[in-house]
Amino acid sequence: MLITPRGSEQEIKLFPGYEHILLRKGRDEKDDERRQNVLNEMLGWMNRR
Amino acid sequence: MDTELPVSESFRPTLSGGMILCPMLAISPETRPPYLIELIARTISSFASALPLAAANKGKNSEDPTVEQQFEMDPQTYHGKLRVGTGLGILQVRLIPNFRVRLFPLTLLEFLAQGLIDINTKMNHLKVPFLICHGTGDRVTSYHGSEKLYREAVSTDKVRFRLSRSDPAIWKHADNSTWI
Repeated sequence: MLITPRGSEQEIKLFPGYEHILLRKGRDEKDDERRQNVLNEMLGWMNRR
Repeated sequence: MDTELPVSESFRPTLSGGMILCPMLAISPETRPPYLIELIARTISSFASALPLAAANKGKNSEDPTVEQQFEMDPQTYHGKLRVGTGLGILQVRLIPNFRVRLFPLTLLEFLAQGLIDINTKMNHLKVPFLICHGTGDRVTSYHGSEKLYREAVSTDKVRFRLSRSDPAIWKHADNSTWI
């Protein structure tokens, strides 16, 4: 699996086991965990720009 | 953006970057119809492009069954099988002009997703900042396509060589460990 150097211009983030990167709001905190993981990656990438 | 390329060869020249979620650069084996179905689609596309033919990604869009249920309940979405023209459009397989039907018109290599092959050859043109997010369990779009995009885009060596093991001149200079 690829490992992206943090802070590089182009990055890839693979989420083990995720079937689809759906950004739907979860029914509860646990159900929303996956969405938060993806959003955190997105925010982190933007903050590093 | 790759400014050394003609505009027609570049990816969205006004794009300054982006976040890419599970791009369809490679189709997962669970979704791609068998080769025989693709061959049938290619053959009948000139007169039956609207024919629903392949199950494609039905039922494979999410690990969450409620997502599929909501999709099925939505009256504004298409619930049928993948139509011949749509499927070939995704693959960007050339349609047969002038209603001329040719049986078995393409070799296997030609048929294997000319569109995807085309985009795969242009991945190293993408030079804007991006973040690709992809799930490894995706049953519709394969994350290996994203891996390839990343590898091609970050590569600083854009020159490709196809080397032959039978060329003695190469063996004089190449270490055996460099072969992949």
